[in-house]
Parts: sequence; structure tokens; C-alpha cells
Amino acid sequence: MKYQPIFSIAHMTLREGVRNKIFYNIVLFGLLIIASSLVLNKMTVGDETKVIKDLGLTCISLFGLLTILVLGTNHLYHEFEEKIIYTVLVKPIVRRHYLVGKYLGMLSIVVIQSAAMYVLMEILLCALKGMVSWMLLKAVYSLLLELSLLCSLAILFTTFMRPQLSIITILAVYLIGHSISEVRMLVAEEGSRFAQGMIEIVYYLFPNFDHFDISSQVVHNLPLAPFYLTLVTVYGVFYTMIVLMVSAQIFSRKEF
Amino acid sequence: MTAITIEGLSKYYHNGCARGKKVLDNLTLTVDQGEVLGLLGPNGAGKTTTFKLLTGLIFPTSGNISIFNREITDPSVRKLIGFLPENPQFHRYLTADELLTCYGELFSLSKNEIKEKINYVLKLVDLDDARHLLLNKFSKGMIQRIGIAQLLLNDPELLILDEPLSGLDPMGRKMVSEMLRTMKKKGKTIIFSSHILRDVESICDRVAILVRGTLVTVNTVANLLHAFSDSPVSSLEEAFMERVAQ
Repeated sequence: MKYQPIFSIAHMTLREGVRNKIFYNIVLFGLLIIASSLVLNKMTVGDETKVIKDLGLTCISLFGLLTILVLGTNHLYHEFEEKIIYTVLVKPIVRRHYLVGKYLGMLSIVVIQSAAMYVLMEILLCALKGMVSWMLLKAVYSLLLELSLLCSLAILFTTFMRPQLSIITILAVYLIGHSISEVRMLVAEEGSRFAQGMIEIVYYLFPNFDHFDISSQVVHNLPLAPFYLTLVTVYGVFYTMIVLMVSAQIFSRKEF
Repeated sequence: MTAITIEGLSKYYHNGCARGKKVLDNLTLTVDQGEVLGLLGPNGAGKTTTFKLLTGLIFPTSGNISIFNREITDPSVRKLIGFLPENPQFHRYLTADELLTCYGELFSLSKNEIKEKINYVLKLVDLDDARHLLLNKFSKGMIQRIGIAQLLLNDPELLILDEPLSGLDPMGRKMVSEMLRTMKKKGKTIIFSSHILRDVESICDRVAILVRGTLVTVNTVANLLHAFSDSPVSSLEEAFMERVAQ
């Protein structure tokens, strides 16, 4: 099968990732925080499921980012630096397939971690209200699109940066992507023409992570716009593919 | 048939200056199918660079390489190659069995083939009992043996080994030397580097000596012992020392 090497590399990356102690600690810590929402819940007024949903979705997003920063960037860099990659790339595998395999493996780790947190959230909601929230699943799916894009960015930066610099760059992109809409609105009202022009460039160049955040609709039980998830899926997949294509281009000429 | 053809191969590493640091200069060399070639040279001579160029891990500044008359960038030619880098490293959180299974999948081998070949190579390197142990529990010698196991997994026609005897105890060295002799008997093409010249002398058909990125000689061991000194020398080590000193 032509694409078998991609899945072999993805499987290997997944195995390596989930056996790493750092991964266990991140998941355990995330689950503990979500479980603690049962206590925080008692201090709130109104809908008692709000805290569980809000805290749970925040944990999926932030701990997903943490896993990508710690495991994603280090894993690939470690393979380059310790020459582990030598015996892999000499096998009959196309370099871009290796990179896509690494991306899929990394994404699988994040999906497993997010799934564990989602299941705990649903268990807690079931225990409180006796029902499962399908809107919550949509919010987790949307967050996974964001994390998928962040995984591809981690792959991109690690192909030519050291892990520390990769982490800082990913964090910068994450912060810009989450604040660019608000900054654009502010600059549109009060900024100079030059500032407006610069913000427009940044707005269209960087991914807008706010598109993936539908937690407020989920927490407050508000309806989503028609086809919103479809549009956000197209946006996320398109951006991820562009980033992976650029990564593959850089990686195809990388020397070890 | 020629297994390896290298024509005018040069490699410069760019380090800020215009042309970069010369690591390999205009190397021209052929290795016939079934031949065993020892690549010798002092540290920094360009042996590892040559192996990296042969395996496509780095790209030449100028010159051409073909393996079995095909470009190394062609993934299908890599089905015929086995490569053991110097001081190999592997994924620490995989077992020997899982690592070799993944490598077998990269060669598009069937599940049964992978199972058979893993059993064969692990017995060959005497690691059958450690197959389910994570690689981070392996000693340096065991890692080198896993390197040999992955080298032989696809029954390669061309074996490229960079310092295969380093990090091994006397038993391990004997095992690798015997493996190389067995592969030679099977008609495999082998190119390897080693600082242990006694093994090179006993295994190789020809020896190439690189000094500061330049090929200074390539000849049979017998000719090397007689051709490069006024009086014939008794060992390859003496011939090598004399040639490098020149």
C-alpha cells in the first residue's frame, strides 16, 4: 500500500508519545482539574453544569497546547539531533510521508488526551443532570481542529528551529490567533492607516483561532449558525494542509 | 554490474563564508556488485559524509551518485540498501520487536514476512530474549546489535556500515565480523568504515583511503601492502599510516 509508511510512522509516534511519563502527567493533571469542577460547581449560582463545561473545554484547549509544546516539538527535534532519523529515512519512505506520519501520530496523542477529558466531562454531566450534551462534543471537535492546526505548526517550526524557539513561536502564533479579531476592531476604530494596514496583513496571514472557540455557545446553550462547523472544518483543514505542505517543502531539502 | 557509482562528488558545508568548508572533494569511485570495500581515513576524512551522501541524508554540492544504476532519491532503490550509522540511536519507548515491525512495514513486507525476518535477525544478533524490552533499557552494545538487526531486516543487496565495530565487546565484534563474512559469501555488496584495520584487512576485497576529503588511493589489500612503500609492509595498519603520513 502506497501510504502504509505514513501509518507506520504515525503508529510509532503514537506509541512513543503515550509511553512518555510527561504525557501521563499532563493527562492526569487535566483530569484532576476537570474533576475539581464538582467542588467549584457548588459555589456557583444558576446552571450547575456551566463550570464543568467551561473548565473542561478550557482544559482540553490548554493541555492540548501544552502537550504539543512539550511533546510535539521535543519529539521531532530529538529524532533529528540524536540521529534516530538516520535509520528511518534510509528506508523506502518519501520524506513528506515521514512528516505527515509524524503529524498524524502527534494528532492522535492529542485526540486521545482530549477524548479522556471529554469522557470525564460527560460522566460528570451525566451524574449531575442524567444526560449527555451533544453540543459539548461539537465544541470538543472544534477545539481539536484548532489543536490539529497547532500540531502542524509545531511540525513546521521544528523542521528549522530549536525546540525552545519553536515553543516561543507557537505560543506567539497562539496568542496572536486568539486576539487578532479584537485588536483589528480596536485599530479599525482608533488606529492610523499604517497600523490598520499592518493589522490587516497579520489578520489574513495568521490563523484566527477564535473561529474554533464555540465554548460560550455551548456553556450558555446558544444555537450555532447554520453550517458553522462545516465552515470551520474547511478553514482548519485548509490552513493545516498549507502549513504541512510548507513543512514538507522545507523538510525535503533538510540535511542531517 | 556496478553497485555504486560515484562521479566527481564534492560536499561543502556552508558556514558563513562564500563557498563553505570542504568536507569531500571530487570523489570518484565505483564498487562492483558482490565486492567488499573498506573506507579508511583519519577522523574528519569525510567517511561519514560519504555514507550520508550515499544514503541521501545529505545532498551533494556537485557530482553524481547512482546505486544499482538508480538515483538514491528513488525510494525503490532504498529497498535494496541496509544502513548502519555510527553509534546508532533508536526510539527509546519502543520495544525491539515494535521497532523492527515498523521498519518492516516501511519495506512494505507482509505481516508474516515481518514476523519471520524479525525472528531471524534477532536470533542472529542474540537478542531474541530481549525482544519485548523497551530500547531505553538496552546497553550500548545491545543498541549496536539492534542496529545490525535492522540493517539485515530487508535482506539488502548493498550494506553500508559506518564504524560497525564501535561500542562492541570482543564477542560482539566477532559476531559482526562473522556476519560481514557471511554476507560476503552470499554475494552482497558491502562498504564500511572501521578503525580496526585487522578486520578490514581480513574482510575487504579493496580498500579506499580518504584524507581531508580527498581520495588518496583505492586498491586491493595485497597491492596496498606492496605498492606504497620502498619495502613492503607487513600489515594494512602500517600501509595506512604510511599513506596518511605522505
